[in-house]
Amino acid sequence: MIRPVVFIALLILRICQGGIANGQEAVQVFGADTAATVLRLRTTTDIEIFAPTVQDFISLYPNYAVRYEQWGSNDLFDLTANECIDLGPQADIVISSGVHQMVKLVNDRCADQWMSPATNSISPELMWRNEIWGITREPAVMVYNKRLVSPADVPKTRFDVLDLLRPQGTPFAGKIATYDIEASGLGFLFAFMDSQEASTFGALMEAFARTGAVATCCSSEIINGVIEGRYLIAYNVLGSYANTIAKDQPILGIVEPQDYTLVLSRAAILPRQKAGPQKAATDFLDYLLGPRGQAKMSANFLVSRPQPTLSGAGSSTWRSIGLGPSLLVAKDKATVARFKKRWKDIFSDFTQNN
Amino acid sequence: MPKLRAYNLSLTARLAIGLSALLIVGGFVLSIAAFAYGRVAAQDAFDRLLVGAANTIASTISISDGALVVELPQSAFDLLALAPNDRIAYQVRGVNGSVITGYALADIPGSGDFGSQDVIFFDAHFSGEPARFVRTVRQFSERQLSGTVEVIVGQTMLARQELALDIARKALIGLFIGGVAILGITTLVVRSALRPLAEIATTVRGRDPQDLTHINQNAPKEIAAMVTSLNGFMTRLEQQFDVMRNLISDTAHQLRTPVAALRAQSNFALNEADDHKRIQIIEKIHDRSISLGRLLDQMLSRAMVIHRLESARRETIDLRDIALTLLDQVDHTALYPDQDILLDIGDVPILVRADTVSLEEAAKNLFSNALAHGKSPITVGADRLGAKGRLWIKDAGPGPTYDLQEAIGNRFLRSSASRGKSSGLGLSIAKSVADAFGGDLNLHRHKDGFQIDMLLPLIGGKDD
Amino acid sequence: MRVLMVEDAVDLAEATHGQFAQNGIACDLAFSIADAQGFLAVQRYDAIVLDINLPDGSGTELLQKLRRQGNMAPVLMLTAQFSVDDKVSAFSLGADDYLVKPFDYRELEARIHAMLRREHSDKSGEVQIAGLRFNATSGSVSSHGERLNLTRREFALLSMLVRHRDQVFSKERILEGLYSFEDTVVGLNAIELYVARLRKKLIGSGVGIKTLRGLGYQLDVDA
Repeated sequence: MIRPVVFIALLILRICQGGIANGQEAVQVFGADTAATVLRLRTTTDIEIFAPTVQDFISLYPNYAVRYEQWGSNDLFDLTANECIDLGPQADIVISSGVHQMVKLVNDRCADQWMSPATNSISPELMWRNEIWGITREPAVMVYNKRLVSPADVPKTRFDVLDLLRPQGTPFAGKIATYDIEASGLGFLFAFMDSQEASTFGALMEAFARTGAVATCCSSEIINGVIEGRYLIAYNVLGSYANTIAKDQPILGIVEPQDYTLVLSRAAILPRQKAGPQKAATDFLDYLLGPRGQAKMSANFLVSRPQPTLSGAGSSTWRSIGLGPSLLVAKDKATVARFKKRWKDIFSDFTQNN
Repeated sequence: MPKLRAYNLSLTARLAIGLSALLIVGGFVLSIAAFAYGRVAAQDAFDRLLVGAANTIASTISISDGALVVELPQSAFDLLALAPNDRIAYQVRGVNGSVITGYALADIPGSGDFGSQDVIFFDAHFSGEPARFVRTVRQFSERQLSGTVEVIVGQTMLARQELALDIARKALIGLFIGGVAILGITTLVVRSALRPLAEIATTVRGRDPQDLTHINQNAPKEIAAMVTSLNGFMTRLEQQFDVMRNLISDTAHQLRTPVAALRAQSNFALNEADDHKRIQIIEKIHDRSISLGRLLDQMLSRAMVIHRLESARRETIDLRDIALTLLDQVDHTALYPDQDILLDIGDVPILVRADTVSLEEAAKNLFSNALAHGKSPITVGADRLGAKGRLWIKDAGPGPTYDLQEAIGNRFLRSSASRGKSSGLGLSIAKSVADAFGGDLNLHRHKDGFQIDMLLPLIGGKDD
Repeated sequence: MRVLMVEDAVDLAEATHGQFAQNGIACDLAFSIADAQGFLAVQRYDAIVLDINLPDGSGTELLQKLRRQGNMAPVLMLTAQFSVDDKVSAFSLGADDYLVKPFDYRELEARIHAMLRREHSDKSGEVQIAGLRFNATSGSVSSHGERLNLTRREFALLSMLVRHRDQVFSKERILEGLYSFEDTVVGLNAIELYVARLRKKLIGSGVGIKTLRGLGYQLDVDA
């Protein structure tokens, strides 16, 4: 009986803007008031994008309601790690795009195990210790303004981007945007994975810095900047968001880099509880990993397939960010500090020079 | 009966049980060994991974502006990810022992706790789970910074346990297959080894009960020994049969004659009108019945002696005791009041190895002969004669009228039986007993009488 | 004197009965165990002559039954069996004496008289030394109530030692004692053997014979 009251109160808080404490961005409850069990879901995913999937789940399991909390990835990690200490998690399932953070939680023994036909069906690199599962397939794409970038200039690869930036006085100077890795967890992850993945990363950073590329926060901000013409091209934008917006904004062009495309799989964990995983949480997980959940998320661009290419190279350019202990590197204090320092050094050097 | 059942167990079953026990015990021991080996092998394999990862991390540590810079190489973690489900703990400690990066790891030893070795493995807990750790070092001696940097990498042990189990499981599968093969081969070998036994059994079963000829069957050495003893047993059985046959025919002969005499005399008595003559006949019948009783005694005695010679245990006997027993047992005063009897023994024991009952029976028979047919005085004695002990019985008479050598050689003297005398049978018994214990029987006439010596090898005496 | 003879061989029984009658001994004949029990129920006997093999059972069973019922009349067993163990078993079953068939009538009568003599012997003539009971008149010796089977010479030897318990007997004196009522000359060396045999039979009775080197033998009673 408390639930609707809280919901209304939260809604009011949401309307009041900034009233929600500790980085919690939004709260919404799905499902009937009469539902027997409330599944507590915490995720970094925007409610609008994930809501259809949650609603489909509830239609399948009418006795469940879902309390959906949307969080920033760093706050979600800190909260879950803290709750792990006394095994009193306030969430039954946590889904985050900060997959390195989720891996760290698993390594810190903060997750419960779960095994089912659904978990067994997914690719081994998207699963670790039966405690963490990659539920989505979201490529990191480049977006561009179709009106302002001539088809000949549309970059197909990172090398194309380098070529666009090379000439003196290039029109793309100051017109390329990417994530500020200090402000965005996802931006950091993509950049870090790029640095591990290819040697082009150094040259790309150098070119970005030299031409005064913009490092800013948040997918929607970047994409809207491209639509509005403030930026011509944005690098390393999450494909799910880009596609969602492109539905209504045909001006937005989307390119999967054909040298390689990083693919993010949002990680789900079941925060460890004394009583083991909740049935509602495992049902939700099995639903997400099962064909119906995957199909639903596919409709919402959360599960993508590689774009067809002329060369036919296809899926081979897709590089999944595997969920495993190797991601711990991206969560190492010293390594992260070093990486960010380098990033800052490059950008500050050139901003000073210019 | 339950005891018997254990003996009835077939050899195949026994071997199978024995081998199974061996395989179970051996399997148990080898399983422990396999598990131990698996553990060591898995430990070794994954320890290498740990060192590899730790060294990779150590090699990427650098100094920048007088401070240590750690940039974890992903390859180190990729290496550790070869243990797919194990959690990873790591820590890098600076020259002053402070943690530069990684986990706090409260449970592991401090910098000062390690010895001089650079690479050290140890077991500790990682957030509540047992884990294996390695600690490596890297030395820096730059102007800005010099000292030892430690890299500690640990991993939970799921993969180790799984590998250990896997190695052990494979070893055990091999062991099991080997064990089954051994059992199978053993069964085949035992079957083939025991086939000759079954064949012999069939041969013996198929035989006529009277057929005691030897089994002529080719058999392996071990079973040949059994066949030989079986044949030996058949030989003895046949000899026993012969003895029985002789006994029966002797008995028939010896008993029919006196009984016929009794019948004739009693018929005669019935028809005799003269009281005086009739009494004479009855006296004859009476005498005859007494001698028939004695004959019966001797025949039974002989049967018993023959039986005992085969089976009785040999014991140490003082021949003087036998002589004394003769005097005590034979109640001659009642039956032969006229005979004077003397005992002639020394003060040294005459020890021989024989069966007391058989020896006493033999001596008693000789003594009875002397009492019945000899002339007073009768002397019983025991003494030494070279390497032999001698039990002797002497009387003052001339001895039997028949040929002595013949009397000894033959089983009995039919003529003596016909006359109602049975000294021959007594001699025959004594002869058998003496032979059985490696001795001899001597009869000789002196000018002052007749003497029978029973000679038996002395214990400790030299052979002739 | 009244004797019960239990024997199923009718001619043997009748011949024996006849001879008993000639010698003034009253004898009842029983041809089976049932017959014998009938007689025993109504008549007291001075002695019983009992065959082992009877048509309705074994003589030893009857003997055991009699002893259980408290009938202590002396029993002489007849046996046709031929075994050295017979003597032992007959005695252990409670028989007072035994005789092997065929036997001489004179022997039978002598044994019966001997049994009766033992039965009626003056109990005051008995000597008890430790576990040994010695009766010179009946010629019986028992150790802890169990009769010892001694030969006549062994008995004579023991009798000498018992009668003069405090004296030391030289071999010569023992030989004299034995010779005095025997026609058999056994010699000095036999004495040692007799002593050895007697010692063996006396084991467990509390009485032994000690050797005094150079002097002879003396009865030795355990303290």
